[in-house]
Amino acid sequence: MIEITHQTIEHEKLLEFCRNHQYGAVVLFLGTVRDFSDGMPSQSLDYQAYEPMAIKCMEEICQKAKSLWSVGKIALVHRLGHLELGETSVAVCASSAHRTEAFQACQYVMEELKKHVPIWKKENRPDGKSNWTHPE
Amino acid sequence: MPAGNRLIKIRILFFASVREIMGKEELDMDIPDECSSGELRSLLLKNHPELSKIISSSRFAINASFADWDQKICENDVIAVVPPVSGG
Repeated sequence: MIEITHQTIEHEKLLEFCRNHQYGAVVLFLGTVRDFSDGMPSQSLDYQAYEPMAIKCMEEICQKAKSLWSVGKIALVHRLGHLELGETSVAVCASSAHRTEAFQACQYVMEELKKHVPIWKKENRPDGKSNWTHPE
Repeated sequence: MPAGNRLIKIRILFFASVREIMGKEELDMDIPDECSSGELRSLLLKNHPELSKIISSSRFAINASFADWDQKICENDVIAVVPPVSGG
């Protein structure tokens, strides 16, 4: 389950997808919009992506995670468009027989996503200014 | 730049701050045949020096895969300028 959506992320769907009698551990990570970023207050975010490439990269990352750890299922969903404080921008869920692999797979998927997947966020500040975030 | 006179048609996609600087989502260009990704970067910079700062930290993708700077571009390829990403 790899998706890019413009709608609210319903993380229960990721849990449902990953949960299975074979797996004793299901880990869910949510990335949410916070009110402070890069030392400045933030009011909302806008996300943009090169969608076909982002989906391809997300699939490759999840495949790689499955090759590195003994995980059952992995679900990864990223939202685009305008997000208000507290809303979920990204969700990753992994299931495995035991908890260690599921935690590690989720961590790996998030780290790789943040490094390589062509998705960008724009911070909208309370003073009306906004800027795209391009980490050094 | 390669010596041949033949030109090929390509499309370049812009995202995030690159899109803001360019004021458009995409640009169709005729470039010399056998042009590499790095040579296209130089061409783009020559025509749009205002991109110099962001281009220095950007990668290029050819047909939705990250490209090396010596990778050749073919007719009808879609090239994306990929500035440092910030998803998550």
